[in-house]
Amino acid sequence: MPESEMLLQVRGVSNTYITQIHGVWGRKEIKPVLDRVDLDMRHGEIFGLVGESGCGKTTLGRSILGLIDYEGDIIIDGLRQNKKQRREMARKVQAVFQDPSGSLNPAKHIGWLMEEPLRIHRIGTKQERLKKVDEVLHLVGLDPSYKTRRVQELSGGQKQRVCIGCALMLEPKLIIADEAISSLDVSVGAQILNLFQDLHRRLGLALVFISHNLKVVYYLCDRIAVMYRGQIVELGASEVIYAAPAHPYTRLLLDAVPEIDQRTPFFTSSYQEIPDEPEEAASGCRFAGRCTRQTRACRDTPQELISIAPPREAPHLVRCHVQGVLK
Amino acid sequence: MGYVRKSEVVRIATIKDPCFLIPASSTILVNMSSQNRYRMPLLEVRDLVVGIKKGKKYLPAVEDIRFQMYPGEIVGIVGESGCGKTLTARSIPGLLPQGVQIMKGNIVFNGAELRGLSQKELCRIRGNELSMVFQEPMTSLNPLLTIGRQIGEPLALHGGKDGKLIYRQALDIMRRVGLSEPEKLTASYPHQLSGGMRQRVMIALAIVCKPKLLIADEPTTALDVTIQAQILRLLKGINQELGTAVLFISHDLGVISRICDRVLVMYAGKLVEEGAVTVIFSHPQHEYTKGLLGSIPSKERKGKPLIHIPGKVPSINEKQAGCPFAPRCLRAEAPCFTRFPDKISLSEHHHVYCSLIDTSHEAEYAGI
Repeated sequence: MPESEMLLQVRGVSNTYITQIHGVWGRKEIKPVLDRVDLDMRHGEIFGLVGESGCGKTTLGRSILGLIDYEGDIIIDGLRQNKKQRREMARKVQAVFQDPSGSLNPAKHIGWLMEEPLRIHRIGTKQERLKKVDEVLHLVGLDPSYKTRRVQELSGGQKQRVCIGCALMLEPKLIIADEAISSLDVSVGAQILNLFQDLHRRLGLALVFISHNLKVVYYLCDRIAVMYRGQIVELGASEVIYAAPAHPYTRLLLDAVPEIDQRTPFFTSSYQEIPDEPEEAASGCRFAGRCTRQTRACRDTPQELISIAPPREAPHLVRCHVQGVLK
Repeated sequence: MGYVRKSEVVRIATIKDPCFLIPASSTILVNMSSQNRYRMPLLEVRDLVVGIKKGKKYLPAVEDIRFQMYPGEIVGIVGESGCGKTLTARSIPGLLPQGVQIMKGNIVFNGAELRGLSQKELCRIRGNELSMVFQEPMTSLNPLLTIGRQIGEPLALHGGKDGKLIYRQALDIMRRVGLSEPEKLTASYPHQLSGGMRQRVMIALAIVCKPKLLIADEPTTALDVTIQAQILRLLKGINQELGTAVLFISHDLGVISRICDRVLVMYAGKLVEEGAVTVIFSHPQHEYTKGLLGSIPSKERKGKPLIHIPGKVPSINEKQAGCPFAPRCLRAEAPCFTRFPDKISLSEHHHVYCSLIDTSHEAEYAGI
């Protein structure tokens, strides 16, 4: 991909958390959360990040937003993230979080909340700002009368619409939606998914959609990255990942979502009980302890992302030793 | 003359009405419920009305719910948040929060009326013959007691006197729910366990006295998909091996469709559709059920917008006469707004509360 087409470039991003394990005065332990993650995104692309809780998908999202410190490089639309360019970065990338009630100040009315980003960035006069609020409210499917309402008067879906509206105020190129529909009811979640698709079509908005449900991600996204313990284990076009998952962990995630279609088996013998999080392997594949087709080599040699797509087709990367041997 | 025209035979064989295409797996259900007819229901909820206190009045949040559960059955309650499914479930063991009470109706469990029993009498049943699993395993377990102590507690409360026997039974049940190394786990505290393990402990606690009925209120909502699949398999296994009936509450239709035999669809405190899972999910009749099913992203819908239900669930202050779903229903007609429809039985395993259903087909369904 040529550089000019790229919206987001994540290069070797690592991150650690420090946890205190034995009381207040006890030993501190450094826990790696992200391990040299590489990612590329084009303009106007919908990209999905999937994985279980604790796999680092939220940390990656927050790193892209510049909310936490990290090692490595993140370049958004030609801008490298640093403290000086914080304001300019904020105009390129915005976030929508899981819990809409927790993201909105209950003391203020919706108009004030939505105007806030513009006020902070000192854009326009009061009238211009309020006009923009009306426009964005219309964009997210609410009418201008909502400006004078407060958060507690809205339903969950309306609150999430307001959150999306706040994110859209600065006309960002990229929105990070972190579990944006997980706390909503199915029918409301469907409205929000439709809204995201609509915004993508009308504004050419790029989206990083973070979720633990691979089937929702498949529905919405063009490309998917599956993460496991801080690493990307599979990356490719959503159709390919859905139809022919190469990594055993992706397979596991896909099988775990109960679907209404009664033809696909769920309680059958093909399922193998996966042990809970095993001890961290010294080197080698991190999934080896839970994997059904592991070999000796899986446990000992570190795994790299290998491309398994035929030449001249969309790239499909897998971090699996066995898969690499098979191809 | 007993002569059937050839064209007629063909017409019956190729008829495209969805109700004629009942999947093969539902034959088991047909047999089961015909057996049930001669058995006593394990749980019978009759005309249940649950009210929430607003000022001095009680406003009904759950209205006229009636259903039956037979031994060994898994019944699901599905609906959006605020539709009264949790209140319905909690009113069975008498665990309603403050300011909420049963206003009308009967709850008959195992032949005995539960409504009106004192807390002391209910305690004898709760955890013994009837137990509950909640959504949040962390807040439901006592953080100050060890796992072993908590799993042994129901046994000790319901007549277990021999400490060693209780310990052995606790270990057995922990192995049964898939907790490895139970000897080590008995001495650990809830905060040392992962979310999935905590939920397993909750289930162990609930089934340790071998209850006849297990009420599971959104037991997998707080868990990861992979852990959810494990917990669902565990519940199904318990149901099949111990014959425990399960009342499973969830807002996730996928989960319900996989674990339950029968499902009750609730909307704004009312039952709108009920029946066998295989029939309801393949041929939903109520507009609300159709809307819920249409709003699930699936493989076939990729690239197309999802069907969503406009509007939102009415709060209990703004309840009107008629079908509660009428203001959001795309097909609603004038009578929908004035009168709540009667129960229409499409077949033995499928009942719907909707006045838009064409009842002229009823005779045909009955004939098949």
